[in-house]
Amino acid sequence: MDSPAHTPPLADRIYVAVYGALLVLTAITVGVAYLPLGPWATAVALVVAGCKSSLVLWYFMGIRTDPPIFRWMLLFTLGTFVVFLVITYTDYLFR
Amino acid sequence: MSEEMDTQNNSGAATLPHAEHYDPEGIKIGMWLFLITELMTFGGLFILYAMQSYTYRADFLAASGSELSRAMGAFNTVVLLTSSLTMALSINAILQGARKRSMVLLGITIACALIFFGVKYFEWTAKFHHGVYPGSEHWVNELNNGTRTFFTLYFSMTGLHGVHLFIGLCLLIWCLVRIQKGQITPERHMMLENCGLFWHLIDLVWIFLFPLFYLIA
Amino acid sequence: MATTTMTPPGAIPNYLTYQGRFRGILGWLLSVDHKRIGVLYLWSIVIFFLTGVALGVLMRLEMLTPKETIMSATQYNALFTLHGVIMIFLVIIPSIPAVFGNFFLPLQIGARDVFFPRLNLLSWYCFMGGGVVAIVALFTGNGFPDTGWTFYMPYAAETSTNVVLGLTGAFIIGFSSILTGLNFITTVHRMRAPGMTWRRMPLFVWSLYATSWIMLISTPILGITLLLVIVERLTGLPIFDAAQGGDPLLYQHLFWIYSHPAVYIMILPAMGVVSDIVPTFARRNIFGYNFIAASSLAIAGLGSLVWGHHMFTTGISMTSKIVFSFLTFVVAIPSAIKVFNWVATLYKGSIHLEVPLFYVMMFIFLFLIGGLTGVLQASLGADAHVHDTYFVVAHFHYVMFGSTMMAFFAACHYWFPKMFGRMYHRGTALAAALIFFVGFNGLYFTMFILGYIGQSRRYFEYTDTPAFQNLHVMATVGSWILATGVVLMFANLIGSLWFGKRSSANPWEAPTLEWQTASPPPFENFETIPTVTHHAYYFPGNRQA
Repeated sequence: MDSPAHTPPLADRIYVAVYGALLVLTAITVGVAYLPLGPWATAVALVVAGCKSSLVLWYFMGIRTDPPIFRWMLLFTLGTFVVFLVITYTDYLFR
Repeated sequence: MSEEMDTQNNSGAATLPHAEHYDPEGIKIGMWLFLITELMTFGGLFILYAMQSYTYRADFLAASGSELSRAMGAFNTVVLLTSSLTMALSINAILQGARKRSMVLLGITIACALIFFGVKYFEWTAKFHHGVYPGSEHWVNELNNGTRTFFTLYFSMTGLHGVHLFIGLCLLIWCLVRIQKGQITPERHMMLENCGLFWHLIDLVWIFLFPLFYLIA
Repeated sequence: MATTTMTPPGAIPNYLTYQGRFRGILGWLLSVDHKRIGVLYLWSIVIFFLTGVALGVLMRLEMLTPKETIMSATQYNALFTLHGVIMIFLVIIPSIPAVFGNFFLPLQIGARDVFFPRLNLLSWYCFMGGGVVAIVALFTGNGFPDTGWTFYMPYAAETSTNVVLGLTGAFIIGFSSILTGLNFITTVHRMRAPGMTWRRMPLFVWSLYATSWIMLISTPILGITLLLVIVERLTGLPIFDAAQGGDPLLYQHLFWIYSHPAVYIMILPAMGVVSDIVPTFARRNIFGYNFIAASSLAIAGLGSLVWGHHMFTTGISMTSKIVFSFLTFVVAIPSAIKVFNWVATLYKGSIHLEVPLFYVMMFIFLFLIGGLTGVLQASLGADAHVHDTYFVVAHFHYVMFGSTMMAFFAACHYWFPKMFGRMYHRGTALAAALIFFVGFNGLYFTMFILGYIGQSRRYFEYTDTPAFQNLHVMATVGSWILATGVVLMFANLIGSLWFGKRSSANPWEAPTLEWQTASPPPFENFETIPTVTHHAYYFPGNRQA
């Protein structure tokens, strides 16, 4: 607590590298949208969005360097959300 | 007896045994729990989107292609990603004790937020101009149920996202003031860090909104 | 204060006499002490509860005769909506967590306060703010919403009553719930006393922890749903309006994704209270600690996945109905585990039949009826028969009123000496409980029968079926007896605040940590933070497992 400066958990260059990766993924997802993929377009877009959001969570939001409890809380929430979604789908898919 | 105690208390309030304890991890847990509620808030909207896009598949694809500008959406995505980067770097700067650098980076983040708002303003007014709003003649007579639903969701989801962006913007400005006053320091930086988390969450939501509305055509 | 019997050595003033920055009423309204906030919640909830009871009695009075008795159909609609909104959002959901959770969670884990004391105060203001907005909705515009507390679309978009204000009230109260949940989880994670491991925590804390997770995960979904209804009413965006492409069934999905788990927000803390009271008065360790703790989490998890059983008679798919029906049957298992464990704890215990245990035994009985009739409705065929009848009304009153509120009363009587340092009159408390019990069963068991033979809920008259009148009269008389019991109970408690005998620090010889400090607890709870060496229900002198 005494030292005037702390070492950040992640160095600046890591953030910049992640930013680069996010830009590339954005370019990919926009590019793919112009291909005639039909129904798969949404799937591809969501996969890319999943990758991007994982990068944001893992690096920018610092889940990587936080204690495991944060990972569990997040996984639990996302898991619950997916279950909500799946159960609601059981209604709409089988009508 | 009771009066005696009262006076004793008033003078002795500060001597009570409880030393203020500062627990950054606990504060962060609290913030993440709040973020979880935010995720579920948007989650409710995403469930709505998922079911409606299943019901009105073709209309959603058509509406996405004809009305929304991919260029504007992509530009805004890059703007938000940039703001996320500068936000993270700003926290790093404060940790290293570089107050000036931190403020400049935070300033860039705020500027990005304003740019995002500018672009969104053009997009929404363009929609209104084309008569895409409830009650207009175009809306009532020419749009079908699927298209109306698409734009209903578009307005609600980007609207709620915009509200969050606005709250985030206010928080960032407040952070800027507090850094200026020297109230956010390498030791006590949780406020900036938590605002950063909130800001990244806004980015996170947009990462999904962008393809779901602009790219599915 | 002449606290002759239990003044601790250091004589730290207790939380009632302690003076902080503010004095008098401001010392309460601006206090961030979790105990004072708990007491604020207690008073507000008791007032809301008595209001709700009064409204319920009026509704029963209307049903006394087959024709219009004391009010019109519109008034009756507003009345049952108001009754539902008050009882659900302002009484039952916050009841045990906000009052006893706030007061005793830090005490039970050996902490000085909750992790975010100021957020805690803010949550009370959100709660009261929401309540005030609801009251404003009552007296302005076209009066209180007549939609029922569920605000089903599309009617909620069409009615001319004050839906927007009513929803705003519920929305604000949601924040209060979220803040409380957030606070509890952080507190349990970060502020346990040395030696207070997860498996040494009292089961009340476990149940609050599980409850808090449901609050955090589900409440936002209600929040966004209500917000969308407000947006639909204000802007005309057809979110749930089928005529323009919206989907009213999605409203029901989203609404029940919150509102079914909310049932478990209501019952889980009640089960926690029972799990704390039973070992104290059986003088032995709780039977199956791990199972009770795990079943709290299981109920929280499974209970979040059964919302569709409110929609069996709507147009949801058959597959979906079967899934929801199955999950609903499954969620009965962890609830039953708890009941078995409580009974097993009492078995061969050294039972002291004090007032709180008496209430708890009534809880177990009423919960059994409420729970089993719930299982009955989980089957698709039976549900079609009793859906939207008095049977359902009776079922959820057995669970919410007969169980949750009964546990709330039990908690009032169990922790009263700890909270206020005084003891209530034992005989009156027992008499009130008995009167309540008789009235309760007279009212709601009759409604089971009425529902089964076909009385639909939410009707203000029954001119087509005058034969039902005998049972209706019985239920109405039951409601009077019930109300007498409630009034007597609270009169006893409130009177004892001033006239009760002073109580010692641990009148029940209870094992958990809150009883190891003075009554009422000193400011900041403990002079020195205790170090915990035993599990929660350790009775020295007993041979323990």
